[in-house]
Amino acid sequence: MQPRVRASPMRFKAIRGLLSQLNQQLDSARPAVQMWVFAAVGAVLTSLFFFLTRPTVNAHENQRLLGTLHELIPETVLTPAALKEMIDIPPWTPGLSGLQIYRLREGETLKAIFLKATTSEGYSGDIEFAMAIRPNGKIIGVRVLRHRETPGLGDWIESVRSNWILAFEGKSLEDPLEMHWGVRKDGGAFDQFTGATITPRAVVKGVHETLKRLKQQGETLEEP
Amino acid sequence: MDVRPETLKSLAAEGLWSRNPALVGLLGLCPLLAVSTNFVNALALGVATTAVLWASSGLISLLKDRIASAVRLPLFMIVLASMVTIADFVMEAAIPEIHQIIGLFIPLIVTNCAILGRIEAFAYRQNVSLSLADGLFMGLGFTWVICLLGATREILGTGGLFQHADQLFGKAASDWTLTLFKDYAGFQVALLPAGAFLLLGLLLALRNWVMENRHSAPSTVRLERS
Repeated sequence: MQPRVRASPMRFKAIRGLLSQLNQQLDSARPAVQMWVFAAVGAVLTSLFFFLTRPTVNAHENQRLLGTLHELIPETVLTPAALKEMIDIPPWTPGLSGLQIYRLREGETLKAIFLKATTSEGYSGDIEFAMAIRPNGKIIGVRVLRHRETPGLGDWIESVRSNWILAFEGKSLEDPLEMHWGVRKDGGAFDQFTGATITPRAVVKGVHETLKRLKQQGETLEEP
Repeated sequence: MDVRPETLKSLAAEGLWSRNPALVGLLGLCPLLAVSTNFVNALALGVATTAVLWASSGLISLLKDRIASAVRLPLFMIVLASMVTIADFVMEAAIPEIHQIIGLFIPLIVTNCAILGRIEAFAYRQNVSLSLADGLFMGLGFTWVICLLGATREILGTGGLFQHADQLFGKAASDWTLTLFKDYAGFQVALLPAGAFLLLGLLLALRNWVMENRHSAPSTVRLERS
């Protein structure tokens, strides 16, 4: 009995020492662990709300897209079901993505091409826009659907804030010429805003790239 | 954990008046001035800010023993940013038309120093129920100032009030719009940023005047570090 009693405090001491050493090391790592845990929980929570709200948000976005189409071509009224028939056009340049087109027909004849696309070259992220084009390649109109540009500066691309976006009406790949498809600062035919060049530049380039992409596909002129 | 009524009363008085984040702290001026172009937008941002401040205050107070003081600011920011992102998603789904207009300012709630200031000064040091009360009253203090500014600018700028109320309260509110002056020409300056500064200046002057008359001792707006 005797040696056993004497041995156990010793053993305990060793274990306790080890534990306190471990504890000290854990203590110094605590802030880092906390940040990891907080960030992970935050990410999980926000993702949860993202996926919960997405169906409603998508429905609103489709409604907005249909509203835009109606604004550009007033006599056309499409249902949300029509948006499911939009055709994906694979990306061509890195700045342009999410290009989807819808062919508006009257009987058999192609009346217009309606599309949406996203340029990633905005000042603060993606700018999503919708556009309607006549079969002869002339633009009926362009509208910005979603953006995160600076309030009061870059948001002039919205049709409710300025007439800037209307400058695209009637334009095509041939008018203005290739070298003039840009903002004035770059020698182009489109205005920029005071204090904000990147935003209009991104939209002009996005529209131009979309036109070029469609021409490459032969979309505006005839059926593939 | 229960809060005495007098504590609650003094918290309310501080948040709504004597330490009002917008009127006294002059904090969060960017959203305060930019979004207050009409009453409905102002109310939407005020409610969003209050919700974020309330939830973050409660969470921080609940977790304060687990927050190492060395990294408390980044941790506050993580909690705040999560709450703001969630508020952004919920607003995008629930009130899409208003979100289209004020959505650009929702992420800016994170940078509203009134919120970070309250969390650091109050929620990190007090118990949960007190922090929830403080967050609520500070948020409401911000909300009434931005709503008053929004209503004043809307009336001066357009001659009407509660325009686009249906975007916030649904179809039933579409006839809430009041036309106060018929054939009003519109005082454009009130809607521009300059008008926001002018009106806030007048509001601060009014507040100082009230304070000076209430207590004989002069009291002026104290600028806090933002």
